[in-house]
Amino acid sequence: MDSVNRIRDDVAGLWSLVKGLKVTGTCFARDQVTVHYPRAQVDNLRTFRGPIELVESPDDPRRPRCIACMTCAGVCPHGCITVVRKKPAKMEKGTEKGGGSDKGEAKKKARKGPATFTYDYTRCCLCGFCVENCPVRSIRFSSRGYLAGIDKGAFVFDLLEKFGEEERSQKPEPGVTSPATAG
Amino acid sequence: MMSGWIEGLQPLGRLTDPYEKTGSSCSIVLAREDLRDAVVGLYEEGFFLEDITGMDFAEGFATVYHFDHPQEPCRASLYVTVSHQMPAIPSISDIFTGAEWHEREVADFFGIRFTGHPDPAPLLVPDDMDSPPLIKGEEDRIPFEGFLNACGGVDKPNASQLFSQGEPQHALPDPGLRRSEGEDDPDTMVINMGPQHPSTHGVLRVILRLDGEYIVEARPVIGYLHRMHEKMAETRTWVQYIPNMGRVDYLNAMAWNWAYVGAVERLAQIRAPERAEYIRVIVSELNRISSHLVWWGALLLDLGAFTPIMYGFEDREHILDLLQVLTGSRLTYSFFRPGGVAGDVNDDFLKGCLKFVRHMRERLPMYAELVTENIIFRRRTEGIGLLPLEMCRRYGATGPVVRGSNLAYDVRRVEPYSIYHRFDFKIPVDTGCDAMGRYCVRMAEIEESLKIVEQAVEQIPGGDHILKKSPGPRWKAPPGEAYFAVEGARGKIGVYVVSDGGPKPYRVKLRAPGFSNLSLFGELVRGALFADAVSILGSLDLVIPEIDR
Amino acid sequence: MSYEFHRFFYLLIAVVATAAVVAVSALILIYLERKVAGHVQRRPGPFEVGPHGVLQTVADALKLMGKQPFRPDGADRLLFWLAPILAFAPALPLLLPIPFGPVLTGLEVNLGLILILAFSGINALALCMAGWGSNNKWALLGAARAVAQSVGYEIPLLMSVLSVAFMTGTLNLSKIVAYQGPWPWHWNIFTQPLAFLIYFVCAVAETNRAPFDLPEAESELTAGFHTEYSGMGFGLFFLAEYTNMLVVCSVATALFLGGWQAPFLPGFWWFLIKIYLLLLIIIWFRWTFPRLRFDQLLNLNWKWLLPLGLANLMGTALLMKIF
Repeated sequence: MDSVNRIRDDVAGLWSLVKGLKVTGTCFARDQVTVHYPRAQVDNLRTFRGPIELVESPDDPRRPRCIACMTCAGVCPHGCITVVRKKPAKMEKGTEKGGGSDKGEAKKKARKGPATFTYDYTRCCLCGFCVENCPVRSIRFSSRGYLAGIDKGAFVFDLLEKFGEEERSQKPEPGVTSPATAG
Repeated sequence: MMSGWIEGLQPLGRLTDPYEKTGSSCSIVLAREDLRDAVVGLYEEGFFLEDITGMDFAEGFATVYHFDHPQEPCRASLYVTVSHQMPAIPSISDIFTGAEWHEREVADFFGIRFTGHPDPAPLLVPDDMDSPPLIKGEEDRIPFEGFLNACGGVDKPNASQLFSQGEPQHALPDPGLRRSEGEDDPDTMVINMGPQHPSTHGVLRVILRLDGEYIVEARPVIGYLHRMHEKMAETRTWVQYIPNMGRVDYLNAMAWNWAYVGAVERLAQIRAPERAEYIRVIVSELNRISSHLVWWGALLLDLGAFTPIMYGFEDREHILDLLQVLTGSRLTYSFFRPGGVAGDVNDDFLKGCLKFVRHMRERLPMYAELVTENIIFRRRTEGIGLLPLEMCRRYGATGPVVRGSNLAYDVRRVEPYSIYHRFDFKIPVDTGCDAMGRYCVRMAEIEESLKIVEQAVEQIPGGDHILKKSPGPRWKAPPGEAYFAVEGARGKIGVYVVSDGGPKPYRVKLRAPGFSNLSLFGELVRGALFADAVSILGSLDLVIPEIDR
Repeated sequence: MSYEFHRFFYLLIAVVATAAVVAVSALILIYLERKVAGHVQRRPGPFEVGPHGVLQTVADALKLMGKQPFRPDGADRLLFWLAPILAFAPALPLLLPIPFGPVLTGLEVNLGLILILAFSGINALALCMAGWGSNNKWALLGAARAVAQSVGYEIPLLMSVLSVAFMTGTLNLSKIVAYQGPWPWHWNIFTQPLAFLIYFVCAVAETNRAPFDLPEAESELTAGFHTEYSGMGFGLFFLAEYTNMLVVCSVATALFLGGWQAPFLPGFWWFLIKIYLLLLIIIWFRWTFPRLRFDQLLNLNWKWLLPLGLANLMGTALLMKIF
């Protein structure tokens, strides 16, 4: 009796094969769901959290909001953030030497800020502790999802680079450049 | 409360902190000679072994055996102490077969010798490792006395009683390295399945001894992906360790997040806000579904069907998109924080969840038509890899593996954590005990998870998603111990943390469900066909990084 | 003399043309397989090389040819290199007796069917040699499976073919085609549906295609008999697989689907259309079904196909005797 059932099951099973073919056949006729990468990109890159970047200061978009308090470097589980503080004394001295800049700018220059802000993306695990713990909300995730490079060094980012453009444009003015910013 | 096993034992000390604080209902310090009696008692009362944890204290090593019962939450912790000079403990692997691997792991990490162990070869660390990695420096060790005090120890034994024991008296004969069966049989051949093999999903290696296409013996070899997460815990602060949890099991990062954060919360005696608990439930259940979808595709890939994994990935993509909005990542989330979650959900996310639930319910019949009903698939899984319940218990198998063997053991129901008691869902079981049974359990679990997500989205209250004063990266945990278990996609995930009151954990032990589930593979496939080994391996749903940790 | 020379010249052209057909159809088939796989899985398949990736196979063929032939240490030099050649070589004689059109037959022989069945057996030998000669345990397991499978499935295949031969009374493929008419109800599949079913299942199994691809079963045996082959060694096995598919489908078309016989279009095109329909079905199978287990494969053969084939053969014989 058991074997009779088994034979019946086998024969009935043939129909299940046809049903399987029907499923794949329908999918064959339907649209594709993949994205042809180089021609198109995924549409939700906006919510992706890629490597971190520095936020511009609200009163001066040419400078980062960062006050170089070192919290981010401390909370990072893998030590991928290296911040070097500007030396405020030298800064003031520098601006004084320049003399040409007005008082307001001198005050801004004297503000605390990072001299260098290096971020090693190869060690970053995107946990977001630096973003959460930054007291002045100076760090945010970028949505750079398509990163490629041919050596590890390409992923060690200088986060001041995007501000550096402006600073460099100021460089010709003598006295503004200080040894700290140059380093 | 099962406590019959404790009668007749003479514990050297007891830890009286309640379950709410430690996650342990009964913690006793035992003399080494009493260990086996206690374990036999536990076995007879229906307990199963969760894990064995070594710890390094100033006076010597302490080994904690965690047992749990599948019917009610009554975790039993047995502490056995040995001196640094003569670390030998009688093996319990003849009572709980699964202890074999756990003991090898402790031996790897601490150099503790388990007398009478049938196969004392290194499990996770390389064969030529000279110093056990988890031994602490002299200056980092805390006294065991202090640990006992922090955990409400009473009837405290003195150190001389605890640590000055010589060779164990009930030492079993040491059988030496295991010889494989039929090693000299010229009709059999040894074949290495892995570490690079399409069906071992990562770097698992199984040494198979084949007689034709029949398996005479199978020995899984693990450790190729061992990253020593437990040592990493001791070099990071409590919060800094959370990202590691996303990497232990890349398919089920949320559950691991939860297990660790839950343990820390239990240690610190804090509770996350209501809204955070709901968010946790939603993301964990979504993550469970996505993990099951990958498993579904991978199992079919093992069986030679190429297309299902693409359909599984197609649906999983919706979950990843949802979770990306919330966490910013698609795979290795570090989303949970002690006292809440890292981000709040908005209405769009909740609507997206409901939309996904509807979508997934429409897709499941297609899954059944393409695979579940398929005669070839059924013939490949029905009656294959018969796993009796008794064997599950000996090895400490949990999750869909044990539910496929007709035991409704689910941490969400038996040891309810968070707010799971508020939801209406079934614990799917299957009487088959075979690969098909485990398959059906997982497919039913997808539906149950959808139900939970639906209910959680409907009930989610307003409020904060994290405590105002939640522990930050430099937070110091109060001294003590805590065990927290959650139901992951692959079974019971347990995290045991010990704190010395400092900013960094003193010891973190990760109980990976796959570890126990894989350890029974060798016994399960004995006598099976070679092709069945592949479908059995697939039905166990192994994620190797989780097993190797 | 001049007649014989003419015959020889004709055969030479036929061989060259067949070789061209083999090469071109292999390229088309591989492209087709990838595209079908892609679309079944709701992705585009090859897309980058050439418009819609049509040149992808050509690029892959060039890559395979450019690779260094590599023989593992301890492998049998003769068997290892002979196996892929032996797997591919029978493809030419297999295609020669097939009538592609009313007058398009490479080699008109009375025993065309026998010729094909005889040469198709060489494939099993090639797989066996590859498996044994590689000095690799996976390959050995694959070879053992291949032999058991080929030997087993040849028998029901033969029986289903014999039923048709009984009916038509000839082993010459051109005559079998001519025996059938242009409309579907004139075809042999109408009178011999069971034989066609058996033939088709056996054909899929003989060509080691999913769900019967056990000799290479990559989730079990990594790559089975061709584990150790790379470059053109692998390329020839690959080519042989697709050529064998072409052969079994051509024979199926000639035996059961009326060959080139059909209304409206010229015969040659009909023949191609029918072949490619069958090929598409085989490809479709591969991307839908899981693989059988080895004992199930043999059970299917010995417990289902063989008795059914035998019954069908006897039934046919009986009916032929009565009517």
